[in-house]
Amino acid sequence: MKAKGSAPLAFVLLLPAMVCLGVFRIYPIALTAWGSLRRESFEEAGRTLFVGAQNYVDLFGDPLFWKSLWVTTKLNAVINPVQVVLALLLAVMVNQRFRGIGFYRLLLFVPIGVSLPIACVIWRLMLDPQSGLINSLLGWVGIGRQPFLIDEHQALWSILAIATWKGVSFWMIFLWAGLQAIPLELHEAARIDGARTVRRFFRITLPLLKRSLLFVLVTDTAVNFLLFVPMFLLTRGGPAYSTNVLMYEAYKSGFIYGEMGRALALVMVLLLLVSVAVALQFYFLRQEES
Amino acid sequence: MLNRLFPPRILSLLGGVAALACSLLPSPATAAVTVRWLTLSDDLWPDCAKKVIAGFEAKNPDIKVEMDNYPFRQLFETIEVRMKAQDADVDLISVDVPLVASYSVRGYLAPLDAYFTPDELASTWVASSKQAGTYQGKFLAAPQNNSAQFMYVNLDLFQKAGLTPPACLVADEPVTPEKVAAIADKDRWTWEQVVEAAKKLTKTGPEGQVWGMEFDQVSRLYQLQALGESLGGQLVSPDGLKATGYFDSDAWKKAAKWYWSLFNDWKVSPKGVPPGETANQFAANKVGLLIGGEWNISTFKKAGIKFGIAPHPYFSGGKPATGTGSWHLGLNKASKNKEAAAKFLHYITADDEGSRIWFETRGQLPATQKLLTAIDQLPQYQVFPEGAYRLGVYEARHTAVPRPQTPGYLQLEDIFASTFEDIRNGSDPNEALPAGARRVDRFLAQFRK
Repeated sequence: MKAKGSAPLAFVLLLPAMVCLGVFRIYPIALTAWGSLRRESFEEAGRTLFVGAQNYVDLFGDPLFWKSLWVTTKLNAVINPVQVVLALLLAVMVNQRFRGIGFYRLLLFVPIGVSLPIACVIWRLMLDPQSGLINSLLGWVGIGRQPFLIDEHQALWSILAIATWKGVSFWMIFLWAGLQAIPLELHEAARIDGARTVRRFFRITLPLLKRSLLFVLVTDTAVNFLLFVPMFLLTRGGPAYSTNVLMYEAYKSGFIYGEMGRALALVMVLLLLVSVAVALQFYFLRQEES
Repeated sequence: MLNRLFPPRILSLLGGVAALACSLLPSPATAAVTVRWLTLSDDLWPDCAKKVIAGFEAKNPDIKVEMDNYPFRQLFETIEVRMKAQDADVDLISVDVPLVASYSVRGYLAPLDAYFTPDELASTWVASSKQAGTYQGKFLAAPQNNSAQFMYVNLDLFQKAGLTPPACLVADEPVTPEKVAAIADKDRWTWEQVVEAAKKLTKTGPEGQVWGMEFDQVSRLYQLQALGESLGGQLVSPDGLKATGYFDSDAWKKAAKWYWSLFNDWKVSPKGVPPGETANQFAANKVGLLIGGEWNISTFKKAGIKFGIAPHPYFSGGKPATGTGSWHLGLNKASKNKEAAAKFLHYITADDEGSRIWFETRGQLPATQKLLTAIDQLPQYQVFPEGAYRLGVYEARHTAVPRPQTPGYLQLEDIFASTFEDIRNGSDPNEALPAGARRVDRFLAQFRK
């Protein structure tokens, strides 16, 4: 009876969020899907024609699309686990209490305060093949100069390093908050029972951190699938399309080439990819929980 | 009775409100049309444009011109978005001249023929500039200025290396049309000579790394088109709808291999330096030879370096070819202020006063016949470095090669830049060029239907 009576109230309370979801999420997705079935008419500025699935047919027949899909998948297969593991390690570290920990915490928070475009510009200077700081440091330890952003085998991994430097502290905060919610008594009891640090981490910390980890993993994946700024500012998709992720290809199609239908088809593919990746993460982490 | 209905306080309040309302309404004498111009924000462009706008507004007090300024790359993207949305708030757009065909097929530009007299259309600009602003018989973008390419020579670095510089225009020697013709006809260096000198100029010394040669707009089509053209290569078919067989022709493969060698074999030019920074390196005495536009003259003059200006090189056995074409001004088809906007367009591109102010403040090679003739005749252009405009006039009349007219120029330019950037970074030209040509053709296919 009580549950029945609270249903209208729940509906009213949820309504603003549902309206926002509809206006800011569902409607733009519907517009994107509709736009991906249309193509620019050359008879009148701004007019588009319905072409059915032709944009997708053209896309799937384009080798550059498959190259971009591969680059996007490769980047995400590495960057997401790397960022989550590093964020977890840092969260465990900053959760310790020892003299001077405040200084280390401050150092770790610095990248959060730097905007990504500024971080990219600074990293470009540091990775400069002729006069960059990193190459000077490598020279001192006897390693030859590295081309970094101008080499097709190093550019993607250089971007991965920059994005990780920028992002990992942010994700660390969520995991740190999760760690602080774990009762100290559990660790104390385990310690009295003779459990060592590693065992306590895998048997107590990790299982109780699963919800925070799920949130970080899902959000980080969505963010990294849409990663665009470093490619735009540092490599413009090159060298040899080695950093030409789907998001950058979509941007280029829409805003440089003026092919909005192709750009929207690319965005729909990207949306599908992110949805599949997130659904799989939910599935596996929930399954482990049960 | 009236006092009862409207007490004095209410009447005075109403009077005050009415007076305020009247003061806020525009009076007929001050009503002004505002023309909005979507244009560049790079270096001194907005300041130069403001001087022309001031001259125009002094003559046309009923028209105000306001600029929306964007950096070079973002300008093209903004134009795409706002023109596609038929944004009526924009009246004028700066048009990079090879995009006239692309903007035309997309319906962004209104024809300008009605805003000029037949005489003006026939004789105001040099024929190549007027033609470049025309597509399928319609005059769509009026030339604001032209451009020319030179080889800047760092005389101090040549002296330190014990090398004889190429025949060039230098300070303290009068720049006569005869001298310009002589060095351009007989003493123009070949690219092979450039490389030989660049190898000797490239060195790491106590003052840091010195590079033998650099291009101003590295890897961009505008800058490098002259390489292929010098060997007889075109980038697209004459109808502008096919790249395979042109972009990857033997001539272009040879030119691209030479470009690859600069960075990967001879190592006389640096990798990783973006366009726009190479001119700063030249101004800092770090580069021996710089291939760049005439707009750099004032920068190098201010930097106080000892430099000369030589004609743009060519390949031995090929023909001299130089980059040309620059910014034109177009009228947005969706504009609601076409008449007022066209008045300003006329002022800056064709009017004696407006085009002169633009040339004198901006310092780019003009496109009008009158200004070009003045450069050849006025004594102020007999002095270096301003006299280099005479070399610009010579190149515009003898060696300038316009960029290809194709509705897919946006795609061609972007793919050209990424292909040549890859070649600069070590990709094999024999693979990169055919791949680039196929990509351009994929986009051009939509215009063939």
